[in-house]
Amino acid sequence: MMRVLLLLFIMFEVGFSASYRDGHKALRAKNYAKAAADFWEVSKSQKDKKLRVKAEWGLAESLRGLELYQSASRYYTKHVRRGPQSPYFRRSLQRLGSIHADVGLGQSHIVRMFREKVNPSQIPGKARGFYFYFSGSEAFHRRQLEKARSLFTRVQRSSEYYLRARFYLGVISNLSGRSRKAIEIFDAVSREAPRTRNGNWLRQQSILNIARVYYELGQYRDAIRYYSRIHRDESVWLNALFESAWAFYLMEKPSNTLGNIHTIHSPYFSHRFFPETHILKAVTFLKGCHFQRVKKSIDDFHNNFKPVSKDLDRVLKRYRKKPRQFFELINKFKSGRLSQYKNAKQIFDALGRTDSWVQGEMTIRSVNDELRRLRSTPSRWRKTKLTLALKKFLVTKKSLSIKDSASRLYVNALSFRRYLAELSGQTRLIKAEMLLGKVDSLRAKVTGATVRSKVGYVGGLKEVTSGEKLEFWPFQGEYWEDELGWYVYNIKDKCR
Amino acid sequence: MTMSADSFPDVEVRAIRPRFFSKAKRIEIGSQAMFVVNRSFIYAYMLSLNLDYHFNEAWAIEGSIAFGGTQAKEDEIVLKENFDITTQILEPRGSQDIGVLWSPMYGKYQLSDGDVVYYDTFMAAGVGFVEAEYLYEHCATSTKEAPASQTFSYTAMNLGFGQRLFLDRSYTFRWDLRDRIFTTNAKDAACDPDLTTSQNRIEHNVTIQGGLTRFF
Repeated sequence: MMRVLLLLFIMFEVGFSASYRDGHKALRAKNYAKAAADFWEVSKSQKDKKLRVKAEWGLAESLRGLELYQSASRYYTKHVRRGPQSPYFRRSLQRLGSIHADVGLGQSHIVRMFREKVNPSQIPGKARGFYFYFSGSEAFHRRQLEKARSLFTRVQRSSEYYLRARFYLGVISNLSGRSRKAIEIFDAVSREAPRTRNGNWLRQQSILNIARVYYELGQYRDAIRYYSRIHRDESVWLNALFESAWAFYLMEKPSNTLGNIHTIHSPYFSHRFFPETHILKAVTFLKGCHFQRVKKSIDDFHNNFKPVSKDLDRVLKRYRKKPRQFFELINKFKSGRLSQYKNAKQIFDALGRTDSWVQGEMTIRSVNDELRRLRSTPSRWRKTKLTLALKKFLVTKKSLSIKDSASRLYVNALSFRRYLAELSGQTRLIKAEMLLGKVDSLRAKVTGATVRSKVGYVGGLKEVTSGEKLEFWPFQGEYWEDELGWYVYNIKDKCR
Repeated sequence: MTMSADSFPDVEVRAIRPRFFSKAKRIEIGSQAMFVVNRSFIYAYMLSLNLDYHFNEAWAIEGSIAFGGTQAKEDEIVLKENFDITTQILEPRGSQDIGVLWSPMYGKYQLSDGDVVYYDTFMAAGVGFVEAEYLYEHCATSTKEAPASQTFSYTAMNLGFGQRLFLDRSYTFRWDLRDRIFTTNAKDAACDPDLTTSQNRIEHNVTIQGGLTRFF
């Protein structure tokens, strides 16, 4: 009897060792589907912990070979959570870094991954970039700037997170009052950023930030020079136009201020959320003593944004504790299927441009893609319940990502509501002071920070150049696509 | 700076931008396919090569040379084959011109997809030569052969107008409508000039032409 049992045990053990070898053979032959099934079986039933760990690594590699990155991340994460003593810790961290750069793991996944304290000196070579970048961004979001700085500086140049870490260092320098250093860093990032989707985003944001730093320093001409480097077809172009309108205002160039706002108020951009343009328009007219137009600008603000605020209030109330439905609401808007809350479309558009949405949506899209692909897995996967295990993981991950993303989006929506309330308060103040006849003191308030500049500008944030040929197109109520960004008002100061 | 301080002075909002296409002090080289549209019995087509120099946005001088051939229309073939009638035809073979272009108008079209195409409109005037060949086919009889064909060069003046559509900062698509006006003599087309009274006749070669040009 004992001999029979021993024989059976040997067959059993040999059988499962053979599956690991089979899996390894299949992995080397790039037969990833078979390899995954083999490694899965070993990982589920092998008593030998070392072999189980090896099988989990093999499974992760196989899933990665099948481009099921989110699914693979589950098993790479297991190795990371075992700590640096795990033989696959370093490589898993590297793999996770690459996966995150491609498809996005989701903030909650990364936070959980690094929940266990790790001695940074134990993180080898290539894996450091990912680790230090995320630790740095966590510290940054907790406003621990010095800690964040020391972590970001440890991201090595060869890491795919290097430029992003440098970008954060620029932001930290500026927040710490080292403006020149910040400009230097942003300039380097903008020059080194590759011509990829992420690289373009980094470049645009770096240029925008340089402009903002100059704006804070009161060097408006330099600020406008950098705002003008944002091209028309870039996603932050309208932001550049709006912010430079403020710079023009502070340079006492009402024609250019109003011209920029004219573009933002065109029907081409009626879906974009720039409520403050009405306030800026009002104060610009106020400065030039065009009092009727001040009143009209304020009325326009209320006519446009009162319904927006109402709908936003309804949304905030209804979806306060319904993150999944809130996320789905924005998703519906983004896919053109939303028929409710028509007045709040600008808000949904603005939310759809936040990092909270973009990163969350990227993760969820890749999870959905993998769930779809799991419908047509080999039968052996279904028999051994590998498909079921992966589906369960992906469904949970999707749910967590949605919840995480939605809660951040809700916070964004709340801040938009506060912003609208603040602006509304400012309009009431302007209106009240005008009604009381306190125009002079009001004008003094809005004139205070301005600095007259002798530099002349045409449209498009361009300085007038001697010898340059210009063309003039009168605006007669019809917006032409090639004129956007080039408007200049021809307006006299009525105060003199 | 050539911005005019009073461009639309009464308009509150203007788009002021660097000129999309500047012609001033640039050379334009181009070629156009040319069709003579006012010859009843023949299709006359030529290839024209142009060289322009633009002094500024409004004024330019131009030199052009054109050469080509003709093809009988169906009417002429039917007359000959069915009725044994041979017509006396002036067959354009080429031209050389020098002239002046004036572009008073610069504008833009917006297409249905929102794209904008810039253009300018110009008027042209000049002088030059028109080459015309006479085949004398109408002179052949049962007893006498037609004389050998001859090509005459006539001094001509030309008037016209056209447009340039600016494709980018260097290339344009250009079309012209031109009338080259010249004087011929009845003796030139006559089977026997010695027996023909000298009589001047004003002729027109009205051409429509179009093609690409490049600015340098």
